[in-house]
Amino acid sequence: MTDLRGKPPGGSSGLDDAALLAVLARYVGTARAQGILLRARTELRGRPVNETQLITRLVEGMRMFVGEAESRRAYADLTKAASPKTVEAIEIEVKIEADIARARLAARDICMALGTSPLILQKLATVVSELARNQVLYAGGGKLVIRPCPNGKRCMHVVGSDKGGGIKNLPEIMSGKYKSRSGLGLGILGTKRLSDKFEIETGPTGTRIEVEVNY
Amino acid sequence: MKTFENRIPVIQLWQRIVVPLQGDVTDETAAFLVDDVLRTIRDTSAAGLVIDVTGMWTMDSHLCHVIANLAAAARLMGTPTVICGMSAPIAMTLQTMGADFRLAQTALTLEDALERLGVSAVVSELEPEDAFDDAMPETITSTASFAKSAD
Repeated sequence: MTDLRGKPPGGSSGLDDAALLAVLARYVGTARAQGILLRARTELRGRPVNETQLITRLVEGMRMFVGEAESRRAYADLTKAASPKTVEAIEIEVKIEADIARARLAARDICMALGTSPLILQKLATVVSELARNQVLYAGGGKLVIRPCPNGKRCMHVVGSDKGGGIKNLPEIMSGKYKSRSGLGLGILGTKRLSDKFEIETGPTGTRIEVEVNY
Repeated sequence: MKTFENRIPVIQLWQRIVVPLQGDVTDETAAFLVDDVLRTIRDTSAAGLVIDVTGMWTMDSHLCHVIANLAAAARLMGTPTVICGMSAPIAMTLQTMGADFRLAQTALTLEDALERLGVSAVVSELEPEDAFDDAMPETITSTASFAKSAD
């Protein structure tokens, strides 16, 4: 996963630890808050840290001490404390099957950071999963970018692009008559049905699918 | 490779098989699952299969396809399948996509699913003193003393 803002990898991510600690301490007390933050930092050491990943770790650490509803509130509070403006974009290189799971977990993280409803989380995770699977199965890998829509629109924006051979039977797939060997033939059609805006460009040099899911 | 992490428990219960899916099921785990379950059905001549998806956070069309295929294969072996515990967001997402489980029955809870497969429970009132056997009071005492020392 690449942080698009190009922060240096490692511990200094530009995040304000004091602000995060203050929020954590409100929920679990100062001593535990410090322990949770330290462990989250240790787990993420040596990798580029983005806010969403760190906050997810922090909330996981809190789960032992607080309930479901409280941890969701804490997630929103931590996100606000970490970045007053926006949740950042996540870029995922999709090559092997394990990347599909990684991609949909990233979609979940970003939805949780934005505080979307469980249904929107589910829709986005499924869309990302379908796009990633198609890239692995048919295009030999590709790239996914998940981000909140620009100019403050309440929606999520996903772009999947690959350099595969393109989708040759697109009309057949879109008509719902196609049935693939490896699935229900619902990867692209299902993605279209789940999304509020759907654009696809495909040709012999690759495929680019752009999706928006409102929340 | 088959490792500890990507195994899903296949539980035998009154000649039925219960498979609780949990968390994020990868394609690899799903493939092992089909293998494990079908082998268990053959080895135990189970009268029914329950796939409990309560613990799953998401389900995409591929996993649906795997589960539908598993149900179809189980049916060929003479074993009916009931899928239970689907959350509202997952159900709505699958419905929007147009995915469905035609070959398997569905039930709301694990209890309903087992009932559908002919298991009926006799639940009797539990007297307070029956709730703990002899070993239990000691455990409770030690928990209580732990709570005290934590203060």
